[in-house]
Amino acid sequence: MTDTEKHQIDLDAFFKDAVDPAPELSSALMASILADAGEVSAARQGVPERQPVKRKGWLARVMEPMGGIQGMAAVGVCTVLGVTVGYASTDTLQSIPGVGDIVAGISGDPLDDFTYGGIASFSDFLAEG
Amino acid sequence: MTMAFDVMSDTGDEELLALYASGDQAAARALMLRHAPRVLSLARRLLKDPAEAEDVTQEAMLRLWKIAPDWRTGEAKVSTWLYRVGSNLCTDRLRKKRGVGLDEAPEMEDETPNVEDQLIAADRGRALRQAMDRLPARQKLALTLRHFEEQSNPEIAEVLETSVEAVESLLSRARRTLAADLSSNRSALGLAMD
Repeated sequence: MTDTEKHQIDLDAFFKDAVDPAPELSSALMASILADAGEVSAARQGVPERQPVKRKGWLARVMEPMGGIQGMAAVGVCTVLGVTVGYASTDTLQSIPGVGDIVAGISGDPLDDFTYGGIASFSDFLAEG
Repeated sequence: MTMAFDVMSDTGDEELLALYASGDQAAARALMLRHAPRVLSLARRLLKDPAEAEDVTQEAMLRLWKIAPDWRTGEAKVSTWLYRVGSNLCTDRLRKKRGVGLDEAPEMEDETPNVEDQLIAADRGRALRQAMDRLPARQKLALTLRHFEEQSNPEIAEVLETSVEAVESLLSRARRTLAADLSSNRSALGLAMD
């Protein structure tokens, strides 16, 4: 038996003798630990759980700078009206209440009074090249 | 959901932690009864001050309650984690005491009467505890975990945040120092080393 082995055996006996039974928790310590557990739980439940922010779809992200769905609806209505007015005949427009007076106030071709560099009319302008 | 306490004796630590995190106070009680005595035992051995050992135990358990919702299953055993937290808390307190010297920390009063006819085993135990107090803190912690808390070398390595090889080396050096210390004092102790 080497010295190291002898020490090993001796130490094991020492350790065996030195082992104490696990200490019992005092009732005060148990109460404190459980109070902490209760407080931590209560604090956790008091804080509203953070909801994940829902990511917007691509269409919503495109429409957002233009005023969202309301803005896009307004643009759509204006576009339809504009095209309708553009293509509608004068008679049709005059039959719309309130619009007829405006149309009637427009006399002929609005370009009639325009002079093209001293040339009286657009047809003359085309003829002269 | 709250489980009856007797049912929880078969429930794993991680499951208990999850139950506690979901608000089950009975799970907290089961965890406390399972682990707090071991933390208290370690702290008493390291600090030699029952009141401080209780403070450390309460603080270690508090940290467990706080980490419960974020506990990452499979990464560490709850017992190992608690030993690590407990030993770190003890180390911090011992460092603060270094002003009066680590080895000058007050001896914990022995609860058994010191009488002549006391068993040799009790004398050996006392001699060993005194010799361990003269060891460097990490060696003492490693020996305490190995021999009193019955932790394996890999578990001690986790607590000390080092390699298993380093723990083996630490334990080996500690045992050599301890054996030499006890051998040199055996006559003073009146102990036979056989």
